[in-house]
Amino acid sequence: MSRKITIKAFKYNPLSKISKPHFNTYELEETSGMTLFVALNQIRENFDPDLSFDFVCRAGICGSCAMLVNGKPQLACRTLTKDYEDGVIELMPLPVFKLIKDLSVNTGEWMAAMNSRVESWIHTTKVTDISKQEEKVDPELAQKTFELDRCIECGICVAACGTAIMRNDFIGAVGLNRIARFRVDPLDERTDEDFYELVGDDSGIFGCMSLLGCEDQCPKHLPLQNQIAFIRRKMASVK
Amino acid sequence: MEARIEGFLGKSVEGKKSRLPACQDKAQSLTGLILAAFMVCHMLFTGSIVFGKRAFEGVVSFAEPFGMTWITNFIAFVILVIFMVHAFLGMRKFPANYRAYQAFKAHKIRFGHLDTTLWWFQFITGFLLFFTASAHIITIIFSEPITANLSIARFANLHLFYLLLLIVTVTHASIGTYRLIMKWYSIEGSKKDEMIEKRAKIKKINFIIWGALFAFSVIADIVWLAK
Repeated sequence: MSRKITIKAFKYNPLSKISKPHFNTYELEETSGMTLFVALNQIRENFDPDLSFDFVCRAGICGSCAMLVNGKPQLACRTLTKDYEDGVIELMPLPVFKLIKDLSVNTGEWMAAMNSRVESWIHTTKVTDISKQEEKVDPELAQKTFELDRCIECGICVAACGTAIMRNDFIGAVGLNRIARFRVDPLDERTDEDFYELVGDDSGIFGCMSLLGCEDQCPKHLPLQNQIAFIRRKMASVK
Repeated sequence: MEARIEGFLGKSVEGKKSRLPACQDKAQSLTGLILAAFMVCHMLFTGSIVFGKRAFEGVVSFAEPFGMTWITNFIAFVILVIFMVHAFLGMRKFPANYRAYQAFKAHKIRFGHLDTTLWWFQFITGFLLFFTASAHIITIIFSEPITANLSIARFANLHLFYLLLLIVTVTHASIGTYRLIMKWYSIEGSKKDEMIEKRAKIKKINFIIWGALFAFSVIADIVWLAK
């Protein structure tokens, strides 16, 4: 049996001089298997064409639709409305990131700065000859690299991180996971000393307070506690 | 001159990042571990009053062999130094200003995430310990040789203070030991659910141990008051 659900969405346009931050309430009929993504599209089609929110893939792959759902950062496209028993769902944009409008934030700018800081690319002295077959990589190491490379940079770990919320220079679990990913990659020649230069400070690995919001909210189920503790041990033992 | 360059640039003259943040992180964890271990011993020692004055005096004479009563004063001084180092390093994690405080508090309320909320308690209790633990340790540094009667008198005068100190210390230390494990130990598992289950188990065991110690200390407090 279908029921009515109530969605309270944060509305604010920081570029408008007359816009004031507030919540708009929408009531809609819940349909079978309804996700927040579906609900938001219905709101935009039927009630409020001005409501801004981001989405691309609708399948938990692109990471665009991350938002605070009843205070918890998660992907709207993978959130089922039926999981909210009282049928009241409050939506807010992700904190930390620059607010574009309503539920839409600019994670790209933040992620670009993070990627640039951790030098998120393979560092090698070898010159690739594309006319020859690629060098073989140990399958186990390749698997480990791929596992950590599953991060979609949705920003949920950053929005779930009390440290990142308090300190805007903190690299977040996404950045530390990038370090772990390149550290395990056999193609990357960087040493722990090199990685220390990138994250060996209080805005990097030593700033992490292990609040584990990242671990609990990551929609890709990345082993973040495990990797952050590992990177901490490695960085703490750099001579 | 090198220190002046590093202070200005945040890098050594060799262009390298300071190793001090790594040392600070390790020192914060190590001092916290020592203090937590000390607290466990402390709670067991003072709790020996449950078994009578003689048991307590027995523990005191074990800790102060050959009547060397200065050992307690000396240990209290060493603990004060470790406590000060820990407090200084722990301060790095405090909210730096009102905006940070406000942002974290709003996040904690919104998020409703246990580990995040636990940190908030650790921060509040850490702040309270600056004053309460200092007052207690300084008293012990300058105290007369410990006897059951002296401790009873001291406790009777300030029982509310000691109860507050116990609650604040156990809260801070129990969250601290849990976080210490999370900080340095990688929880392995083939699947994420398995890792989260293991973490929940570690958390449960940690808080059961501290809860039992706390209960024992409260019983001991009642016995102290009854003496």
